[in-house]
Amino acid sequence: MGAYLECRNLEKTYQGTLRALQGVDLDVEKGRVHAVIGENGAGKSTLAKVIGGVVAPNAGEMRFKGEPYSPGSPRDAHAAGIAMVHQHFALFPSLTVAENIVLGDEPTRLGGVDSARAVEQVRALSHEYGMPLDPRRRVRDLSVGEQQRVEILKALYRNVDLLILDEPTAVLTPVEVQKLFKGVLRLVSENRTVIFIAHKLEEVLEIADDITVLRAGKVVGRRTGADATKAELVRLMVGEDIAVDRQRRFGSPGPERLVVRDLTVHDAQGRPALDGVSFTVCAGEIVGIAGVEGNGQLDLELALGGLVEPSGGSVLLGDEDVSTATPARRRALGLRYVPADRMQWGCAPKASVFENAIMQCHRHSSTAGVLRRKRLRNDVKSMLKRFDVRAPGLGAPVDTLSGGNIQKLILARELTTSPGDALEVILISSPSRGIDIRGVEFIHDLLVQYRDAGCAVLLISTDLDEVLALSDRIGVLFRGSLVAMLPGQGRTGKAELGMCMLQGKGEAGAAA
Amino acid sequence: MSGRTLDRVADALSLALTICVALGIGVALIWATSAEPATALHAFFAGPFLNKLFWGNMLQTAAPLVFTGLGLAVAFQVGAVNLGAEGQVYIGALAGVAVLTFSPWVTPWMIPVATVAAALAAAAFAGLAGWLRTRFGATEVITSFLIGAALINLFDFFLRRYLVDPSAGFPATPPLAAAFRLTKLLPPSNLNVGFLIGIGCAVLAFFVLYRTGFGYRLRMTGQNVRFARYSGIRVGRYFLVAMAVSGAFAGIAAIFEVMGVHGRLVTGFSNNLGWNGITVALVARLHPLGVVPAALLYGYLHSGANAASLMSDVSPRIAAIIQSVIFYLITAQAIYVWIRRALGAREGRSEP
Amino acid sequence: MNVLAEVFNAQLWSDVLRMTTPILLLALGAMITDRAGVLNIALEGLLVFGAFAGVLGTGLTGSLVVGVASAMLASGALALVFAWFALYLRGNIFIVGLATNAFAAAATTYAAWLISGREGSLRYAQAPTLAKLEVPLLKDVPFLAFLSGHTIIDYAAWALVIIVAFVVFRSRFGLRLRAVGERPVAARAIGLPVRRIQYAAVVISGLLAGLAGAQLSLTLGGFVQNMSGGRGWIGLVASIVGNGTALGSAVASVLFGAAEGVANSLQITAPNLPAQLLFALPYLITLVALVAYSASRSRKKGVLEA
Repeated sequence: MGAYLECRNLEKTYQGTLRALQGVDLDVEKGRVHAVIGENGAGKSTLAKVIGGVVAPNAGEMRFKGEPYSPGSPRDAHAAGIAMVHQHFALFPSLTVAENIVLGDEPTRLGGVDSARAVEQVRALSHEYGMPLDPRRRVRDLSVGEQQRVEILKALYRNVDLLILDEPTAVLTPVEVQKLFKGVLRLVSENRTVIFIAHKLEEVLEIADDITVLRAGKVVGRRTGADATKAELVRLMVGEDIAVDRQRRFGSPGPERLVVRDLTVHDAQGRPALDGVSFTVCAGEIVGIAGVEGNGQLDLELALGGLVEPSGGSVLLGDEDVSTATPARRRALGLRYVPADRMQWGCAPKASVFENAIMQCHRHSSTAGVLRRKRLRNDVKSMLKRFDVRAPGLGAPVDTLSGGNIQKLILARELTTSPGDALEVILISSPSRGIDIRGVEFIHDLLVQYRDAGCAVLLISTDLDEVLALSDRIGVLFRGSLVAMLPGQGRTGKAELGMCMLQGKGEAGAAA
Repeated sequence: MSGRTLDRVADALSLALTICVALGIGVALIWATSAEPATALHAFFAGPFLNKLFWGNMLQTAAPLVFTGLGLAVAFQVGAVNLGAEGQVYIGALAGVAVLTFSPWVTPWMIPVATVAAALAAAAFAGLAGWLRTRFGATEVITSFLIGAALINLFDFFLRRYLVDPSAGFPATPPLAAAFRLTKLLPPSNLNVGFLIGIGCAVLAFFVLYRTGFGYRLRMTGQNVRFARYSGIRVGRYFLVAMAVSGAFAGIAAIFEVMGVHGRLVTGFSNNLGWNGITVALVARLHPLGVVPAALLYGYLHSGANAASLMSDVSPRIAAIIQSVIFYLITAQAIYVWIRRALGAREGRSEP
Repeated sequence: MNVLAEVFNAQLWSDVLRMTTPILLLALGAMITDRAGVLNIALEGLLVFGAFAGVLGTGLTGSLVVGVASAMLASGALALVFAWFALYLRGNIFIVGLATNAFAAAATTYAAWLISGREGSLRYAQAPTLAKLEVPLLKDVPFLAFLSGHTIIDYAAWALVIIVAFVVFRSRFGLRLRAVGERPVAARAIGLPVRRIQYAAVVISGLLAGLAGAQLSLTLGGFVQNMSGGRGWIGLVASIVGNGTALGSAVASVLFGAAEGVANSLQITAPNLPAQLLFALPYLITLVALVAYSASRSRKKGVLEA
């Protein structure tokens, strides 16, 4: 007899180029937590989407509860008893919790939506599974953890037997992760099944009964939670031994380069997104800003980059107050900024590699306003070579490059200096998001190099390991406030930092 | 073939398909509604080549569209949508003619002066729509239309109240002095030096957009306005400049039409120059050098339809219907994707 | 003073109400499509198409019911074409909208020429026009008499304000519509038929635009080129300024209807004011309203600011 969910030989190719899945087999047993792990781009999310009915495989077949299963849409998957909780929530901020949950299967009365009944049903459901939520609140007012609960209740409302969680912990604080895991165990105890897509190995080892490892679209290993070790899983995921926790040398701080005092930013609704944040970054040090996503990181980077106007406080680059200065002025004073959202802020996705690369240097390579194209082409070529950017050609649109190559292209553009350019401060946010391990290593080494050469580096990242590995000092953002400034260089543990990200504990470490 | 080449071929084929479908619908319409379809079709397709008059008029029909098309292409390149070009045409012509009418000097030297006046007046109103966007966040898609629609009425008002020639029998100014007329290139047709200046402007626009830092920054603003801002470009300024330039081109189109073809200001003279400029820009894929052939295609369509209506029983309106079909299809991504995929599949087979 | 006294009379208010109807119907349609995430630039063309089909249907059959029905069906069909090019062939929504306007203008004038031999107008001598319905008691109430004496479409438009409000904010379709408009990708992820809902929204706006067209042409008793007079755009702005609600759209529509009513009535009461300036008035008032609304919304600096 086959497994509860059987996948055989799944193939998926996107737009004739990227082969995301290459003959994947997966067996999920009933009443267990089955983790699917792999690096970014290994095909985990694609596999989840195929099972969840979001994308159709090019080949292969699936059986669920012994019946052939080939969902044409997420709706088909729901009907069969499978639902997926996406990494990016499929929620509607302006609708209420209850509306979000019943959407698609609404109770009706007299031709309208029976909202009283919807609220009642949602309340009952949230009690049953120990996931407290007010059904009448609007989703835009919820925390990320609460939004995730809405997503899970949405699936339970549809009475699904198998729940797919795609990287559910990426956006949660350690405490919220524990709450989530409690909920997952509750589900499993009621004989429901969970597929858990992840790349954080500690969490996988904690929660998973079974583990399937994907690499480059293929299954490269199957283990049970009991007999897997972290080192073994890493080797399977990466395909070769890579020093995971390589020790790095630490910096020796010089004079202050970036001074932030009482920086306050209000969002579109007039609420403070960043509330009186103060810190400094000195030449020759990396200051990491940790925090769970959505606690003001974006506002901090945009305010420092000159892309949103702060409503209070000041930002100094060297001796100059740049609180309201243009991005151009900040750049002239030596600030280089690598944004977290590469496609929205960091490049023009449909424009060519060449056009993206010359954004800064073209100002130095023109005669009476006319671009010196030959010289620019040579400059770009050497720039790409130095930063190891692999592109099919200078004319290729940037969105045909991989995430890692786009990131390296942005770094190349920002960190290449023309004669007379100042380079004093590097502001870099979530530099390794969506990038493979080798690319991450390259970027981390680069930041250390520049730090050692005397740059002040501000690293904003939601990835704790990254912050811990690189930072000389670590600030923690929580709900728009900097609640702690902890010593880096290995003097703060992951557990301690994790606690800090949860408010309250911050005061103790604020002295550092 | 490389991927890039395939992309270009697919783009060209989808353009060709668009034009063929539109012409096909035109042919079907003539066939269905004409009592003498053979004559009508012959006139439609061969008309513009039958004699010097038709040939010259075809080129001249394209001339103002080169200008409005260039202007709209520049606006689209920065990411602005100027739906007020029709009104900008009228206000440009009004300003230019006012200068000529009240000028104490009747010499050809007034021609560039009137041209500048026309360009400035039209640019001011296009720029106004742009400014409402950068200052107040009101979308230029709608404000440019509303301003343009009001301008057309304003034009009629000034024409009827202050400039009208009562002896004309219809709302028009007195004919312009001969010194203010543009030199004809191919009499008896209307073709004049404006056509050549249009080609010159296309080359100039190409050079500025694709060979200078200013043009590069303008295009990057249109590619991704956030990226442009992040990179230190003053995007509001580029947006305003591009809107103003698109208006200026509409003004030039207008005053050349008056000085070169009509010889006076006539109510309704534009005949959709502003709107058709949008399609010309899109057929040209927003490339300044593509604007010239795209405008010629339009000139051909119009002259063909005119010839057909003179020599047979069809309405010149047929051109407007064919145009709207092109308009419908010109941005259809799906057609491009299908062709691109088909080409890719064939490539795949030929290189196993 | 005399002019003012004459301007603000019952006839004017009656005019305002009549002028409001097409704008209101268009604004309701624009609001529905906007809630579905489609900016409906095609309203002008849909209106023209409906106005023409209304005259044609009435003229050929002598029946106003057929006329109104054909206006709605024709505009609904053209809306379907608009949606097909934009959603299925994935054309740029602005451009496809402009194409729809261009096509409607070209096709109606061409068809008018084919049928009547005249460019740009169509009129059947024997065809009936929409009757003005007197409301028995209302017509004798001093200050409310202007509410009486309108066509069935004028009254229907106001009923539709309530119906549209219910459909959008209380019905299942409305909940899904708002979800699709807010985040189409998320809506697709949870299995809502995004395309179908967007098609439905566009077609509904087409039906409403057809009704608006019928009101214009069947009250006048004929089709004239350019009779739409920019109302598609004004209706679109009314839905924007109305903040995406039915009641807000209605209030804005009355404002713009009043602009047209006043411009209209000034033409008669103040013949020395140039007509062309009065024609420009509704556009300018709409422009001012849109700019004021946008300014009040974007206190924070927009992306274009730099």
